[in-house]
Amino acid sequence: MASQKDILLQVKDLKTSFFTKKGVIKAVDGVSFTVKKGEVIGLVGESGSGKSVTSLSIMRLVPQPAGKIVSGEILFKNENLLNKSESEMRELRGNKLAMILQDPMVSLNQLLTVGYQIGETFKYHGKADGSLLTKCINILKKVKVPSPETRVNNFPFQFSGGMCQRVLIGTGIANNPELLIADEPTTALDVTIQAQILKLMKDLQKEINASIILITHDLATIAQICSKVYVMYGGRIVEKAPVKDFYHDPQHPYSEGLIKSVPVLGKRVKRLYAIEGQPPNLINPPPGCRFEPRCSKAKKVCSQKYPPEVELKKDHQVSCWLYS
Amino acid sequence: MSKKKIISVENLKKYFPITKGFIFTNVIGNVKAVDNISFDILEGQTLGLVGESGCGKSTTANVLLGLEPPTSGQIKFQGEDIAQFSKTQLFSFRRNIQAVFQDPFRSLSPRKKVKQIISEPMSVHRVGLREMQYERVMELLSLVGLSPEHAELYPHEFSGGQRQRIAIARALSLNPKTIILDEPLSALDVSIQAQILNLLIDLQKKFNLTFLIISHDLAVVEHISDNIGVMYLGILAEIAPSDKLYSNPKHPYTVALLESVPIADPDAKVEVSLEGEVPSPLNPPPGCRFHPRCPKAKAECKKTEPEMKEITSGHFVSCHLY
Ligand SMILES: Nc1ncnc2c1ncn2[C@@H]1O[C@H](COP(=O)(O)OP(=O)(O)OP(=O)(O)O)[C@@H](O)[C@H]1O
Ligand SMILES: Nc1ncnc2c1ncn2[C@@H]1O[C@H](COP(=O)(O)OP(=O)(O)O)[C@@H](O)[C@H]1O
Ligand code: SF4
Ligand code: SF4
Ligand SMILES: [Mg+2]
Ligand SMILES: [Mg+2]
Repeated sequence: MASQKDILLQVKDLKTSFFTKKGVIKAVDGVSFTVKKGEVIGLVGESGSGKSVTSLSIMRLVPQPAGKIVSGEILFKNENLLNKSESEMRELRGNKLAMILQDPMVSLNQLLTVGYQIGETFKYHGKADGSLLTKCINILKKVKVPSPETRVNNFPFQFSGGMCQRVLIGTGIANNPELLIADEPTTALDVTIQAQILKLMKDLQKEINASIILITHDLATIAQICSKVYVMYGGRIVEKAPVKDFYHDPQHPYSEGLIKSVPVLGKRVKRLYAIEGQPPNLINPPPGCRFEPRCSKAKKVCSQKYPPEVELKKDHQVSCWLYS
Repeated sequence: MSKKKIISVENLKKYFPITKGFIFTNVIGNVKAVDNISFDILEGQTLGLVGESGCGKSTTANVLLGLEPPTSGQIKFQGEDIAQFSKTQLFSFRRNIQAVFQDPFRSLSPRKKVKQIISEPMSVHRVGLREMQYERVMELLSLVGLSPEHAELYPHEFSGGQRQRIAIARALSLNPKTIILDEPLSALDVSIQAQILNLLIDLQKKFNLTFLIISHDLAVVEHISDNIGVMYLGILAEIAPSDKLYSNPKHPYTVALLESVPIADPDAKVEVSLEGEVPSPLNPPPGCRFHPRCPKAKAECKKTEPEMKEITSGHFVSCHLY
């Protein structure tokens, strides 16, 4: 077990739902995990599995009024974020806790200069001492935007997608956060630019020693920079594993299927493995394992009771009836 | 046995004029979205097109589909220039070339039931009576792995993967020879992508379909394609049989692109092999348009644009190194 002081974030039995006309969507339904200092965690899963809602819950930014954190604890440096006031949260966000969103074009305000938007993060947190412009230029330098002195006065539409994503990463790290949550930071980008951004994130992580939660459905991105992988399915985490175990020896049938279904460059096979069936409906989910309708290894108990999490070895846990 | 060419594209250009002013509009430049490309697609085969965003893949597809007129160049269908087609020939050509687009959430009309969506091309082309069309819808639903009761539902009642199955059923409805697939898997999850990819391969075998597939995911393209074309800023940098392109890429851009592909294996680390951003197609660099980013650029590359050369059978490259 990690000693208490190595732990930066501890999420305990988090439940977040959306109360809609169609019913209660249990977007996150009992999620627990920890993030240690300096660790890069990959959170993977299909769209709608609850990755973004998990991270929005940590930031206390769940869309209102439909969304609500129903229960659980989110301990950041041993303090429960769910007990914090809105002004205390504002103090944390963009400072010790930062988040980079999926679509750079949407996340940046198109009507304000890039420099202004980076500057805002400093000002907000009372660090606007003296040479704000120099600081903004330094951030652009850090994220390797070419000719930062002139670029600082540009508007986002004058930047390519890759450069906007660099700017967002720049605002994310401006105040040296302890935890950075990046939601699909490279999904909207081309492969050549993707490689650049991943390298940048890796280097910055080392430099400021932040912990990162990287959210993606792209298994290749995870393999590149994460040390651990948490796999989500239907609002729950079904497997937690060190990155190598996840790729070479996945234990949950869903993880196994996921890895097998990715076509590998240069290794063409006759027929791809495919997990049949559709992702689960999160309104009135069945009591048992959410993956049961698609699982080829399902047993009788699987549809009746949700499987408990068992530890297979150090840092490797799985929730599946095959193991308990 | 040599296969027949079903589609040939010769020196195709598609420019989009950039205008200024509201009443007296002046053309102040052209976005050279596609700038002189040529390729053939053989019957029953798949050509994959890859390249960075904005390089002209979709424009090429849209011109082939007749959604945009070409600026110049020829498109031949079974050896005949489609620009010379009579009305009836054109009508039959349109029947034979169908499309599936990226976003299954936007490409299906939300107010129509699945049976109407799938039979739409049949109605447009006045094929079959209503009852026959309905039978065909049932047949198509089962071909793409959906069930009869799905016919009465609306698109929003389906998941992304199921919607893409509906789009594929619609594309198949007129028994086309060719289907153009523009990023058909990008909006789908990994586990669903594999299902759709397998479905496409099965349908191709069954009906001897010809595919043009566009994707930014090189592994997906490799998995399904016989030949692959790599586009860069409106041109074809390289086109080759899949195995040759991956095992022996020639164009420095193809090499860099392949090196940048993230690999789902924690033991394989990806290198950043391409610095810099893609230049604007409004003003492509002179000479070889890849030269500002090319690690192998020579003096000549800045001045003259390389021509496409066949270096081994079926393997074409536009680069001064060859
Ligand atoms: N504002 C909202 N109102 C109602 N339901 C919502 C809202 N936001 C998310 N949900 C629902 O919560 C569930 C989880 O959504 P979430 O966005 O976390 O998924 P995700 O794993 O991030 O998916 P993606 O990869 O598509 O972003 C989904 O069923 C989604 O439809
Ligand atoms: N209708 C249009 N008007 C002006 N420019 C366009 C239009 N359609 C496409 N373009 C431009 O043409 C180039 C190629 O676009 P496209 O073929 O859509 O790229 P891809 O599909 O490879 O992402 C881009 O620079 C794009 O902005
Ligand atoms: S609990 Fe049962 S249904 Fe769920 S993944 Fe394990 S074996 Fe499959
Ligand atoms: S022509 Fe010159 S610049 Fe262009 S790809 Fe070849 S070597 Fe590089
Ligand atoms: Mg999301
Ligand atoms: Mg496109």
